[in-house]
Amino acid sequence: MKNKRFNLSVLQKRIISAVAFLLAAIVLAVSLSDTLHMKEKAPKMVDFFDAKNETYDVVAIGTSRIFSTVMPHYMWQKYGQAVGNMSQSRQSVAASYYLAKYAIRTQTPDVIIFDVAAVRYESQTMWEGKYSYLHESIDRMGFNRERYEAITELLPMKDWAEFFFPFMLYHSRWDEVEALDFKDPISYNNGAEAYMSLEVSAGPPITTETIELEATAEKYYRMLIELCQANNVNLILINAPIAQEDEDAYPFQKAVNRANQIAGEYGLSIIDYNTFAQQQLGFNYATDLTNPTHCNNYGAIKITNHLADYINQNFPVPDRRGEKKYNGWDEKFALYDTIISLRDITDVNEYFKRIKHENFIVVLYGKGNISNLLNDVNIKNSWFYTLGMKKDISAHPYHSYIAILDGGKIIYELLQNGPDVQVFDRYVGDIPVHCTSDPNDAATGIICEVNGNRGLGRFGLNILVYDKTRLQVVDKSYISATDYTKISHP
Amino acid sequence: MTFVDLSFIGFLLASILIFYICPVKHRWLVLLGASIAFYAIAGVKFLPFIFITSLTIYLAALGIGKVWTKQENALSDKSLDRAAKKQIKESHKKKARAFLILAIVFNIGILCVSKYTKFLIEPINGLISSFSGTFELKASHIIVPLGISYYTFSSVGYLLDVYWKRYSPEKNYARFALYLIYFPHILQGPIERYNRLGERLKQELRFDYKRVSFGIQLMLWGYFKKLVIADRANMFISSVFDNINGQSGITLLVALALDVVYIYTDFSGCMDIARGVSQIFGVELDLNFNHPFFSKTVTEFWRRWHMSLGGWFRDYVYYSISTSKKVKNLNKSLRKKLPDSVTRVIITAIPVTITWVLTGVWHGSGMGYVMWGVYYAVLITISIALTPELDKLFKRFNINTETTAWKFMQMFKVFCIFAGGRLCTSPGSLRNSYYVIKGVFTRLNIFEVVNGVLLENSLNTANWFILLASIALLIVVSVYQEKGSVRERLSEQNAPVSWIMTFGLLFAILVFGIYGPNFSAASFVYMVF
Repeated sequence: MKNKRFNLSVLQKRIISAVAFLLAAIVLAVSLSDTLHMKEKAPKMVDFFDAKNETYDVVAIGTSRIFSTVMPHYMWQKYGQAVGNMSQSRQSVAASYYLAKYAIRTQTPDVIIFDVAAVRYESQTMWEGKYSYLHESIDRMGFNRERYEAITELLPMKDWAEFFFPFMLYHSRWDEVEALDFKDPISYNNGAEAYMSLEVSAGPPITTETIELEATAEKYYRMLIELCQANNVNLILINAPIAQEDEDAYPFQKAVNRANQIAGEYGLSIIDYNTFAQQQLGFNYATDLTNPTHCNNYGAIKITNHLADYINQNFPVPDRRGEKKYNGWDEKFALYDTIISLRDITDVNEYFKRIKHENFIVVLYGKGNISNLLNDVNIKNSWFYTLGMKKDISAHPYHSYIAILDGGKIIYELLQNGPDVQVFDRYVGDIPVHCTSDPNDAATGIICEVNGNRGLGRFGLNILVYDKTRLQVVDKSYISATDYTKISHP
Repeated sequence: MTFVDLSFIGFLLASILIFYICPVKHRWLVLLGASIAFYAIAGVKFLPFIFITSLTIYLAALGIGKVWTKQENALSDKSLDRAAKKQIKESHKKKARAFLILAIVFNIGILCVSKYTKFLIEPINGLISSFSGTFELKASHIIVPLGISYYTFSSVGYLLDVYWKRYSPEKNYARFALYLIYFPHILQGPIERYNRLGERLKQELRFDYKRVSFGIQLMLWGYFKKLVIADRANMFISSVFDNINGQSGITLLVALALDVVYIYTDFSGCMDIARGVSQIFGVELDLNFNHPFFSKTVTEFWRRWHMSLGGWFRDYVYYSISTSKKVKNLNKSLRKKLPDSVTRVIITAIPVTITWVLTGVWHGSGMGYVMWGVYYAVLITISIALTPELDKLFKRFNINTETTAWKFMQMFKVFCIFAGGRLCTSPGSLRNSYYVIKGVFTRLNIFEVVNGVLLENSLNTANWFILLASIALLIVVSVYQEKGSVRERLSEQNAPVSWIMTFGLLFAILVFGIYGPNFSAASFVYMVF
């Protein structure tokens, strides 16, 4: 009886063998797909799609204007609000709709924040063959009905294959694969990205006129509102600040006005930070934008602060601080604070102290004649005592200089008289660091890259700080060859 | 939809599922339905063409069959004398020939109009424009149905076989239609004979695990050849031939050599996929390539390359001409006037030249293809003429033609001859062919290889490595295939070994294959013929 039970027929054996073969092939294919996937734009989506169900109580969706405006770390630190930012560059309204649908099913958020910017841009982002933005939004979603619907409803049938099997797109990266491709990068701030630079603007585009929205944009905009209302999710519609200097600023504002009229049909209204922020939040168009369409960190904090208060006062979003599920969030955001504050530091000594961090790879390299800079007593002191440099820089009147720190310790230092002809090409751990210069053009100087991220090329001492744990650039700064009293962050 | 479209895999899986769910006796109908669907997906507008061809050929064959039956009945009368029998034979032959000629002229006519109108219109337009300058004939509306050269040749071969009483005509139209439109071979052949494929399609098509897994392995090998080797080589070749004048001599030479690899892996890869697919359904297709580059002579090469086309031209054109009364009479009269050796060359040259020019024209319209045909006709004629003399010469100088080195040299010679033939058509025009030759001879500097000159045309170092490693693998596998079935050997291994090999092949295709949105989709070269 026992023998009979385990005595499989030839057919059964073959079926088992075929199924096992198929399963092994699928597992291998999925692993390969993850490895070959482009990593630069992945962190926020990986963070979100890999999160356990019901992690995020507030979800922000929309274009790059929202990932530079809604700062989850701040909302966490102020009220313990668990916020995930799923926005992406040029995320179309349609893509936002399917991401919201996914978020509602998996996270059951209390609040969704949507930046209406995309209502103006729908046709350019979705239907003119620029599929890369949609790939960024949905490729990491996994196999689920929202992804299926997004693909089948947004794309012509001929293009389904590359979205169902994005491996078709990414397999051509096989000759670029490095050790880092086997790791998944992690977002610092639940998908948000802060800009530190500023661009002076005269103010927002003020107009009460409206223009018709592109049909697809309006359709999905309405669907998004209806989706949230049907699922009892509070939808906060915002218009992040835009400067009148942007060439599309006025048509854009008119589209937002029209979107506001549509929102009114559903009993909602847009929080238009272009009008509201300046008056009530002290938003300053001269200091709070990084470019005409995106807030810098200072502006973002003002907007986020308002949003955090608004949510706290109007919606039942719980304070999650201290809950087991959120272990590590305090630490994560503390690191983020360190990084962000680093981008604000101008004092050389203080800066050098901060970049001696166990997570960081720091590359310092000179461009042009930096002998005066390196012989400056203050620089020299902080140099030796803070960073631990060993080269006798005072002996060299004209230099090529490269120094590399790993986890706060100097691992490579090169100082040489003469023109900039040095090349450095090696791995620090599994992170590729590459420095090069044009031997025929000394003025070009040395330029360094860490994991493909290029540093600055200013005259003076350029500094590139890279977080090896999160695979992201922390800061690009420089000490000018002529004014070496401070660190500059362009 | 071609074999390299992802949708084809979906189509194939659905077809396999329905096929094996269906009762055995109805499975051929599933194949017919799948084949019609496959053809319709490629273009519904193509369907009337293949329908008309299949119907006219089917009816003509039935007509011929009836004539032969009547003739047989008439001849069974024992009271007939020899003269009467001859008269009966002639009258029936006349009727059968009428069916034959009508059907062939009609169908070859469709083939010629669809494939060659554009080629003929260009000089006519040139002539018109030199007189009037305004009027222009247009060929843009002419449809070239998918696989027309293949199914027309298959059907003409069938009709001739019926006419020559090699077998009886098929009575069931659906069976005959399946033979013509059977989807694994409709794109690029092989040009199957009805008495082989038609009969195989009539057999009970049962599931056989080993055959199905062999079919899948053959498909994978075909995809490897096509996507990893052929399309990668094509990236380089296209880039070079698009800018011939800017290329170094060594680049042009490498492009010519790679072009041979490209055409072989593209076409034989497609054949492997077609045969693999067909094996999954339990239907063997004829071998179309038998490692042609192991050939030592051009004649042997063409017995191993595109075997079904070569066989078709040999059986239906070459033999028809060489055994015709006119050629026999010419042979007799020449023998009286010229030495035997000269007569032999002339008598051989006539059918060889006609056959090869037609073979060239079958491949495409344009002077390049005619030149290609003439090139081979001349080479084969010379080869036939000189072989006895060369044999004598080798014996006289004690040259051992059985050594490995000699064989390699012969194979290299065949490779070069084939590359020379490709030169007539690959660069796009005869003018470009001239520029390639000129470039090779005037700008050749072999040391440029180490200067990275080959990296200037679409392939970086990593891609060159993959290409060369894949070609090396192809050669190793081909050597093993010459000794016997590689798949049989693989099946004798333990499961992990055979799994690793199959996985290796599968993932080499998935990772290194040239497909997807980052590459422009390349169809199969022989699909356009």
